[in-house]
Amino acid sequence: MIEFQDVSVVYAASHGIAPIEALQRISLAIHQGEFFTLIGPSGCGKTTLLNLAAGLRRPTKGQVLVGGNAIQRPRPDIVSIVFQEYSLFPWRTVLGNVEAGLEFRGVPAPQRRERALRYLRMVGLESFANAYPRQLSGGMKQRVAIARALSLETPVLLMDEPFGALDEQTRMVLGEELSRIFARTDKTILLVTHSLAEAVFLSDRIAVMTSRPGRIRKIIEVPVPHPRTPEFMTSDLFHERRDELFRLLHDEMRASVLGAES
Amino acid sequence: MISNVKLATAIQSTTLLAVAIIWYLAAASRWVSPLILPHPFAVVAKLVELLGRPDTYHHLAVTIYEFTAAILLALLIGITVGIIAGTVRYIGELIEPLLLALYAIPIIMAFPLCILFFGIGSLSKIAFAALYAFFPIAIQTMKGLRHVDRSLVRAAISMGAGRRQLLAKVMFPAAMPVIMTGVRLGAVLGLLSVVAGEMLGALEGIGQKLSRSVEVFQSDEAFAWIMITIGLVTLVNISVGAVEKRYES
Repeated sequence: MIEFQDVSVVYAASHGIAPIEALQRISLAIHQGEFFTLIGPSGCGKTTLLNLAAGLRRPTKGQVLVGGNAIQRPRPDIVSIVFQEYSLFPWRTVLGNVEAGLEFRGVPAPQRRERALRYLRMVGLESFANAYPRQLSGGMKQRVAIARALSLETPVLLMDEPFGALDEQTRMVLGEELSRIFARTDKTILLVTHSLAEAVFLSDRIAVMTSRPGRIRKIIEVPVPHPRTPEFMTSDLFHERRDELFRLLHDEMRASVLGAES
Repeated sequence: MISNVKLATAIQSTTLLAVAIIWYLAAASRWVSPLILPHPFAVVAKLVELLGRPDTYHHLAVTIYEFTAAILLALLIGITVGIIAGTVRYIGELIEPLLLALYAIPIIMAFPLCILFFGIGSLSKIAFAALYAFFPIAIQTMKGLRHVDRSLVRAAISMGAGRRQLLAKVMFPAAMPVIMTGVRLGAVLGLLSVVAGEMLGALEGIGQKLSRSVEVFQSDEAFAWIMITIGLVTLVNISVGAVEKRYES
């Protein structure tokens, strides 16, 4: 469903800084209906990879296909995105925010409302339809952003550290909700995260990336059906996968953190 | 926070009350000649008398008409220039120093020219006030649009917003709090320019009535016109505040 074909990204030199190779010859195929996660040290280019699929950035070399279409620019008809910083419009109500994407797409007002309310119900925020974002907690804001992305009804959902700004408890609850929503729809989800537990809990497959220039170091499978429950988090398989991720990442994180400091 | 607001209100009302009492004492005891400082009750009586005269409403209407025309003109041109300067980078870099430099010049100097070009009627006041109100509106619109949160723009683009939708439905509302500070300043400056213009050269309007009252030593009437002007400024402030409130984030 999402295909990266021999993709490289080089950030051009600027203000005396040498060109930076962010991604090096990445080839990766994410299947239809799969929950796929990118994990790696800071600056490894995982967000860059996601932005390529989003059409918010173009590769220096190689190409990106989503649903068989070469991606040159954002394709709101096939790809929707949830950002870490929520990106809600503060002057619009919760309902107005969920409707915004449909409005840009030209969906007529009555249908827009009906669809927005349906997805607000799915994330459990129907009763906050007329509230403003400033009245919501971080977790609720991110649920609004998820409802907004879902309302576009695209086959592909990209999530860039969606729970990164939230506390551990909220992350866990939203992770369960996401697994439940994922099980009910036939979406393909590409998630970028820092959290090992989140990656294992949610993903069918996890790609571990190297520090810059970003390459895929290994792909780990988590063959457990969705929706996943909190019990899964106490299972042996969960711990085994989480430990494996930790070992793989530890060296890369050291290289990235110490490399950045020197 | 709440107690601070209460304290501030208390200090403000005490100050106003003190000024009123000193004014009353000064006038009632005739420390100051009534030619210069009228008795407050005389001012109130004059205000009531003025408000009962149809003539007053004619002058009020002239001032309101001149102000409304000026502010609409300033909004139209100011926001258009601000949008271009705030969204087209090269034009922005070209226009910004010009806007800031012209804004720093005392625009009052343009008033005699306005009289020369547009005559002694309403048109010169409209042009002068529009010129005054234009700068803060254009500058704040430009600044507001330049500093819109990039993540909102990116989210809108990712959801398929076109150029016009991006401007009308994302950038403009996001910049609204900043734009409104310019509109507020522009509106207050605009009203003051209309009144000042009427004082400097006009045949009608509340500013003209005010300066005429002073010329003939009718200080109670002058003070009554000042009250009316303050009332008008307050009205303008309240209206702008109501719009501002809708865009608080």
